[in-house]
Amino acid sequence: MAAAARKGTATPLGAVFLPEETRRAVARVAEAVADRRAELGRLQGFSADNAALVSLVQRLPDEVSHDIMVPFGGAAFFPGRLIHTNELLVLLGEGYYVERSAKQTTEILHRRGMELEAQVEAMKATISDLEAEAKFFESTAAEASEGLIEIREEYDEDTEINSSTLDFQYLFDLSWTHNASSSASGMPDKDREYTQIMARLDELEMEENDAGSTSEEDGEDDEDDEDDEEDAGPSEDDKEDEEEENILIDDNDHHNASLGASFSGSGGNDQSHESAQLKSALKKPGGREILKSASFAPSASTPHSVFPGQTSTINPGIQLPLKKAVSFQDDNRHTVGPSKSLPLPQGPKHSSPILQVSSDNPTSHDQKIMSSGQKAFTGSIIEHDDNISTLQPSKSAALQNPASSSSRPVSRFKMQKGGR
Amino acid sequence: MAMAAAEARVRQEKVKKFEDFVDRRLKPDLVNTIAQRDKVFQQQKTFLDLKRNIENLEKNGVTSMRSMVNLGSEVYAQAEVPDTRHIFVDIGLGFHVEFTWQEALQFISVRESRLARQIDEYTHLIASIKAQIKLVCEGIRELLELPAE
Repeated sequence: MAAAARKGTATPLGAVFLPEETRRAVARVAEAVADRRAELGRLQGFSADNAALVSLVQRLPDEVSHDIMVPFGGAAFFPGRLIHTNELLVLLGEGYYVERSAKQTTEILHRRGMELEAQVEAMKATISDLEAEAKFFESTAAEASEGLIEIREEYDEDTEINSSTLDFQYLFDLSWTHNASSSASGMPDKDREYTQIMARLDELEMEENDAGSTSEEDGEDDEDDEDDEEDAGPSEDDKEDEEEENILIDDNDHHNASLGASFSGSGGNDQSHESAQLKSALKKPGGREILKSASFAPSASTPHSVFPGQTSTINPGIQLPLKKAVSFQDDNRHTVGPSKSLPLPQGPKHSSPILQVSSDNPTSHDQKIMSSGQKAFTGSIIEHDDNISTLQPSKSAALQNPASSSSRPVSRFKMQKGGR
Repeated sequence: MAMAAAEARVRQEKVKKFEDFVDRRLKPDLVNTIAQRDKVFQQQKTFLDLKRNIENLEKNGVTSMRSMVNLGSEVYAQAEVPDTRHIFVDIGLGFHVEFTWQEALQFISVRESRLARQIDEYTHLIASIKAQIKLVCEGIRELLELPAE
């Protein structure tokens, strides 16, 4: 760990911010907020009193005298009246009173009111600050409980010049060694640690070589995803301009993607159901080829009968109806067409997506992993957020949550360390 | 050995329970009661002042007077009382009764004796709460087997 001290530190947040301490901090801040709120209420009460007094003082000189009950001590009063209604005695502070007219008194009170307003605003700002602090504490507590690890390295120019991506990997190791050492008994000695680090580096290198190919795929994915964003538009609201749809279809290289767009775009009446079904049907690993072949073979059964009135709204482009027909035919072949009553699964592969039409996310995820070529298309219809979050762990989550990626060589290292 | 440990734990829990009782029940009770007694003291002082004021009016034969009325936020206006012989006195629950000076003085003496009795009650209550606190503290001391002071 001496090397760690030199290079940087990796500390689990849970160790720095103990759960009960963070809880206490949250409670303390909440208490402070409650205090400030009470103070704010008091100030607002003053402000309201002041406003009421201003209106009273403004009305006082309207008449020569007002009948009132004149208080006599705390528990008694006499019937009487206010006289000299334009002569008021105002406390300036420190026991000094000044005699003012009603108008002058109003001015004084206005100034006091402005001061009070400023105080109220300041108090509100303080409260919002404290609330932000409380939120921070809470999020920190949550992160600490999740096992987040803080990796910190001092910036040193000399070492920075020599450093490369290795540094990152070193820190990566640090988090590992820390994790492992926290479970193992005591600190590992330096030599052993060194060999372990070297072993780890080798593993990472191999991994990097492997990752070289996948990173290219990633780039492709991103590109495809962008395309899919465009395609996802029409699928979401069927009122989308049909012309735009056509353009999309013409421009798009991916046949199946355009199919999906055209179908879901024209889905019309019960779009949500059918598009989902089609989605699952198209998601199948073999689906692409099927669709492709189908798309070039105009089918006899046109969709007009299935969706009356739809074709009328669609631009008379020859390609679109054709494709639509094909897509429907494809549907029927997979028994996910408009008539859902025909459970005729073509193969065992196809049956599962049909069954899981309503909850297509898990299957889609699996399929995506299986066939990277289909990734782009499936991503177009399914919520992107879900896909990203489910797909990411294999790539990036290893950094944040090392324990989650069990299938990677990383885990072998960990197991090796934990076994000691 | 295990018996002793269990016994110690039970004793610890008991001590904890007693301390909680003192801190969360008796002490807030004490503070509360003292606050209530202070309120009654305040009332007693108010009526004492009123009595003195009425006696002053009586002695000086004042039938009309001027005073300053607090309008709020320490802004005062002059007020005139044309006839001071009739006074409205707070008899509690938001009721005010019109009295002559003599009637008011009678009422005030009745009220004062009542307030004095209330104060006595509160004082006794406070003493008993203090005694309870002392008792529980003594119990804790015994549980911990500390020598008496």
